[in-house]
Amino acid sequence: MKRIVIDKNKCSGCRYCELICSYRENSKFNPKESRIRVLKYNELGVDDPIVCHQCTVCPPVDACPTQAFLRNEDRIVRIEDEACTACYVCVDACPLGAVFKPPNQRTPLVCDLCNGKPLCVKKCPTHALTLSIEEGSSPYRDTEGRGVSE
Amino acid sequence: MRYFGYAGRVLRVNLSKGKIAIQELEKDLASRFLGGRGFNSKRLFEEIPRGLDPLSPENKLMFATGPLVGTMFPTASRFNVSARSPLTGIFGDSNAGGHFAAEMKYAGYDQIIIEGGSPQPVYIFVDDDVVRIEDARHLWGKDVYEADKILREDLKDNNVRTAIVGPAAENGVKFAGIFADLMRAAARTGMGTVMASKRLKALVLRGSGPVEVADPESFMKISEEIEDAIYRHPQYWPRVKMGTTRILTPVNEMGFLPTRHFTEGVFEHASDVSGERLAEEYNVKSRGCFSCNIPCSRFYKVQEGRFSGLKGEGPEYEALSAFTARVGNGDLALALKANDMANKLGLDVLTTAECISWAMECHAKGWLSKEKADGLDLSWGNGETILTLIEMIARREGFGDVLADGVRAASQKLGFGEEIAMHIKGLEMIQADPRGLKGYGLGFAVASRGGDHLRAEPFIELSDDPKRGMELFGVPEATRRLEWRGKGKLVSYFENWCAVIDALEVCKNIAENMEVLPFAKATEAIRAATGFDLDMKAVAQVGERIVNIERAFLVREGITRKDDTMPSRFLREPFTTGNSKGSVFELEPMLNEYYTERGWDMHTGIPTREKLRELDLDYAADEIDAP
Repeated sequence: MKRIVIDKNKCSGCRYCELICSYRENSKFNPKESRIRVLKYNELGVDDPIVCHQCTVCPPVDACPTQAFLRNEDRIVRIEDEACTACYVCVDACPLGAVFKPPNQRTPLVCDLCNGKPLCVKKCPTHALTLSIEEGSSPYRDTEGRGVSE
Repeated sequence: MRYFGYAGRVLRVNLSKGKIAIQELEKDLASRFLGGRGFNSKRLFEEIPRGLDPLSPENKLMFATGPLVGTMFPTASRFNVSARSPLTGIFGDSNAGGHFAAEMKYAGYDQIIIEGGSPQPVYIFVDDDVVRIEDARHLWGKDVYEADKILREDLKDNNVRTAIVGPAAENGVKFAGIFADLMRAAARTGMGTVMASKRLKALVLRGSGPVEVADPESFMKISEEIEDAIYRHPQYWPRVKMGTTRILTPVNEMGFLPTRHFTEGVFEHASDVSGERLAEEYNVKSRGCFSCNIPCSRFYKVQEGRFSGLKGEGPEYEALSAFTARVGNGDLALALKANDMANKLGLDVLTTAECISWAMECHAKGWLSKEKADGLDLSWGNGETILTLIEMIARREGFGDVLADGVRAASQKLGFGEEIAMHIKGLEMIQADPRGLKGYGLGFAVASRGGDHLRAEPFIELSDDPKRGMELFGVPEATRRLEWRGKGKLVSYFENWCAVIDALEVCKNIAENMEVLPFAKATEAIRAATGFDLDMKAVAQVGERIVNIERAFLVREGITRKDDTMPSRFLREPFTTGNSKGSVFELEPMLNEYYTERGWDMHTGIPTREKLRELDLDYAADEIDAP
């Protein structure tokens, strides 16, 4: 099963991931419309990317009162716009804090893995984000010639 | 009107009246001055009258950012903060990166102008359209880190962005900076001092709006080209590992690393305090500014010794070499401690190190006795003295109070050492000796904010490749560091280019230093972001316009050619050792060439009426009675 793997020790906190994620949405740049967020703890030098891990047990799926928060056949989570009442129970239910409340009263934001080719992984300058294909497989990075390994 | 690239709004907060006004960004200002430093410089000229006391409520503190900030354009993350400077008395301006500027755009502002002064300590919280002036009595006296922590707790949001002043600013030290998200310092020219004089402890931002560009497809294409060019650049990995500290070693090898207060250009302990040593022994992680693929900032930890447990970001080249070579200290961990103290207390590291090293040279020359300096041992490199003086300056205690107004004022107060006070127009010089790189030196002499390199940053000079000089300026010597010819053209060109970069609020590392952002590409990016119909000539003219409006500000204060100078040591005393041996700084012929290139009056250094007209600055020509 595909999921994004995070190595926060590699994250520089540049927030390219937030920018490309929000840009995909509507060709605008707005970190608060992003499905991934980098929490920063400047005094400690910590940058902590938060994104859905596609957990096997997903509390928001159970918590959603209208069954809007569900899994696709490939087990990737998504929120069905029409069924969502924007109650944000899912935002509180996710133990990772990886479901985000958007600026306006709209459907919450959660990572949908960009049809299997996450743009944040592609753009990450430091390989802090990688994509894991199957359970137990080693993470790989979809570079397509971008980014540089030393 | 509807803007692309820009947020399209200007926020004015008057702290005397408690009045908050949100205004539309003027189209004319945007297209003629582009953003950031350009916005601030234009408004300072218009709104700050001649001779105004920098610490009076009438002074205005302006934060501005640029049209590419908030987008994915690599390194577009910076802001300028400007006001009349309490340190120099003239044009004051500083610039920093991090995440603060982007948040300004998301909150919906291109510029934030602070006017007046509050009777008691306050902070301003800008939460999109909601702007509140809040009580900050509980933050007053707290260092930058403590205040940042309390603010985030008070607002119950760790993701706000902060710009904070420390105790040094509160105590009226004239070279206090403004610190964005702890470690991005807008440190030069005392902007923090102005902020604290208004009883403003912090400016806190939270934004949730988008930044939209005119032509997203072209814009992303250009941004990705620059991004790729950065990855492919040979300096990419050295920059990731060492940031700007990577230049300490070559600067020492070239023989112009200011050592023991510019008495030498080679530091014998350079390899103990180099960028390489810092990376090997202390760095634990790379960090970066917003929307930048070069994580050139480094988080360090000291694991053993007397400073064990010390951690933080940086330092950059200036702080590292100032707290080592300049003061004659070969202990790297001590330099880290000094930098950490300066950051928390809220001081400009360059001015602080100049004041300390100046006192040390005065002592070495027998002018300043131990008794006059509160019993401090002022011998070169004394670690205890360095740390103690940083604290005493920030608290304005004893001898620290003498130094707290800057080196020019200190030499005047004590009545000696004026000729070795290493400042230009009141701003303490950076960590590069002009005798070893003439283009930079000329840049220091004419810089609108005083002794500083970031107005011109003619990095190309260090290539020492005459072909580049020939190709760009028709003068092969222009790009040879020890030659003076062609430097007027070099500096004039790079000043205009730096002004554009500062208006865009992009990082000079990718423009002037790595040269991955050519002028043509920057013009394309501006067009794609803003939709403005500007060609390369118009963009170059924006840079020239910014330089000229700043010069007009200086001229109005009485600055002329006589002030475009530098301490006599550089003009008369050649280096005696190292790879710049025998070199002195040929100021006068370089100035002649520079003024000619600029179209300024050769005798006075005042912009001519003709030049100002050409740049649509007729009003400035009238105001300064241009020749």
